[in-house]
Amino acid sequence: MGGSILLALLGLSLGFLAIRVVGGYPPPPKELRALDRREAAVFSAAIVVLFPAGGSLARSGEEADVLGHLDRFVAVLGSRNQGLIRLLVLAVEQGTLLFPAPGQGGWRRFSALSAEQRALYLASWGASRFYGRRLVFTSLRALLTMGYFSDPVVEDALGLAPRQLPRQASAADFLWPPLDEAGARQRRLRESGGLPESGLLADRAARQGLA
Amino acid sequence: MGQVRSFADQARDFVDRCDVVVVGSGPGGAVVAWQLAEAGRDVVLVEEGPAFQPEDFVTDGAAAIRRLLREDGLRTTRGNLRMPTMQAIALGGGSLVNSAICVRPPRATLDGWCEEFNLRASQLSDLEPHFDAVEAAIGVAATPDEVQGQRNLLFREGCRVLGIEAEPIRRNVRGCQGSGECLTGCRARAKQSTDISLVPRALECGTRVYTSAQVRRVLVRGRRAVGVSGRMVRPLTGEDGPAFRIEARAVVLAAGCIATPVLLERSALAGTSQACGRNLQFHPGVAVMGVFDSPTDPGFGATQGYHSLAFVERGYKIETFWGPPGVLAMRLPGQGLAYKENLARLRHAAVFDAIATVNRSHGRVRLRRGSLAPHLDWSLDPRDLPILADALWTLAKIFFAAGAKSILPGVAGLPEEMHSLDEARVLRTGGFRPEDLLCTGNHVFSTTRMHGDPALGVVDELGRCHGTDNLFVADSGIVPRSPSVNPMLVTMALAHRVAGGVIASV
Repeated sequence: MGGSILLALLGLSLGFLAIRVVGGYPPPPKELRALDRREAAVFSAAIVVLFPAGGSLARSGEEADVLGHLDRFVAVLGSRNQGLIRLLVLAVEQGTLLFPAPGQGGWRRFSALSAEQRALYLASWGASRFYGRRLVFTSLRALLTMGYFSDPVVEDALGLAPRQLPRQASAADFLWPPLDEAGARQRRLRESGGLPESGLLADRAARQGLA
Repeated sequence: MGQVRSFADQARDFVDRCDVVVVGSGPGGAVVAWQLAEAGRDVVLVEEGPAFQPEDFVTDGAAAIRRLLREDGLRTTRGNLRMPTMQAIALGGGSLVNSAICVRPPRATLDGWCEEFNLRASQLSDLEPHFDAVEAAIGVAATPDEVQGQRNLLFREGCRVLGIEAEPIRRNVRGCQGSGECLTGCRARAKQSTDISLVPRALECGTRVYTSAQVRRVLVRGRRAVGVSGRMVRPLTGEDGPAFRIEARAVVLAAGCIATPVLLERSALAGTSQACGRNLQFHPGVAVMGVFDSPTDPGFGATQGYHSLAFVERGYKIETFWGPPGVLAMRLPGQGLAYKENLARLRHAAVFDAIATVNRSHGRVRLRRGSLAPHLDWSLDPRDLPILADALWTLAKIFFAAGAKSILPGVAGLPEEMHSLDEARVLRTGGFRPEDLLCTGNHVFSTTRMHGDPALGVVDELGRCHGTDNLFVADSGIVPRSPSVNPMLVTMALAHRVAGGVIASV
């Protein structure tokens, strides 16, 4: 009898955990390549808190498409790093079980908390004396911040857009194959009667002049 | 003229033969390949990364680190702190993504090596001809004032006020545009990274260069290395391509301080020395951001244009720094609107950093099971913390002397922002733990260190692996201990000497 009750309780607990981890997430706001609806919900909830609209830098994280940037970033990562980022999402989302957010229902999933609770919850991770918690916060904020800065409007607003520079190829650049195209640039240039040797020698002469 | 072969050029498995195969085209490997080729040896240079050209460099921090660095740029140490550390995967290796700093180690540092590591000829006077040769080849010159920009000049001003000797950094750069983009690849191609300086010179002398070719094993017969084997890997994705084998009369490993011991372990060669992969050392870097009343126009100026060697004897070197804004912003406090207001202050900011010689802090590189990637076990010894505390305090003093309104030291448990030198005094007293620091793992060395005793080092003074006849190492792994300054130039000088030994043996 006692064993059956324990089994039932265990089953209920597992069911609760399963629903908590995977249940009830809305579809993501846009089509995504790498992030699933759960990850999109967690990142979106964090983006709203970290980069709200307003202030002297008006652009919000949503307007800057931080979620889209994250998705593109995660999509091209190796499987190990993708796994680490998914672990990060899980830690933030379910961490309320161990470190509830202040206020009523603070044990709910991070993405289900009010914006105010989410802000306080993340702040507590950032200020924690426990290194692992602080590391989670720092990593999350770093990922989102890099996404925010990838928006040219943000860079312009901050006066930190890359300067206009002529992309100057060195003579030696003509020796190397292009990154993403079949066939070597060297061969192509040879076939078209172009640079290599003369360019390289000129470059070398200039270098020796400098030295 | 040699030949360049890339992933796209190799449709099927292949074998090549040469006098010497050099693995890695960074500062060490490029020097060796250039020297051997000029001495008339038949050389094959194998590089795992692809060649990047100006149009391939992106200024977006996240995209840049993923494209240019190993493990998507997310590599960290494991130990009492998770310290990010980077290794390039590109033709030119680290020289493509570093700040091009070329400094000779101080005499006191080099002259101490001989006694400590049972070496005979590694004093400054022994290495001077090699420094001279390398500096001439890559065009080392002081950063000119015109491209210093406000953030570097503020450092100079702070040092001047305090009476600290400082100087423009000598770099292998020609025609710097002051774009501050050294870390994401120089769009102006002013930086003379080895892909446009030394490797072309090797190519000109007949070297065959394979890019996107990942060496997975050193082939050995008895005491002799007879070549290397591996696979071509698709640029940026690492997808496997055709297999290759390069047969050679000598093998030079210059895959970097992290990859070389992993390669030795994979090839069952780590047993030639107990020290292989051990003695992993970093220059942990701490940085302070200063905020000024007036804009600093941080987007303009050499990435690292000014430094001071005045504190080397106290265990650290201080310098200016700039990087992708999205990466620098990580040290700003707050979230929400407060965080955004802090981001807006970046245009009034400058960053000064210190690299520390922490000789008590050692670690180990180990092969990660089922992977070619390494585990980096490294902890910051608490006894080394006073060095970092002293460095943070010095940086704070320089900022306030230069007129900073406030500083952000990036130390957990201390005020996020300090508005006076008095408030910053807490930095001097330390009292923080290693994990409280926002450290970066700059400069890695010593995992295959040279040592006269085979039990304590992996290579001899000429870079030859103990217990082998013709297997050499020529990257920062052979540097026996912190050079006290940025290690590129000393690595290149040592590689230049290794090349002489290889030439004599082949």
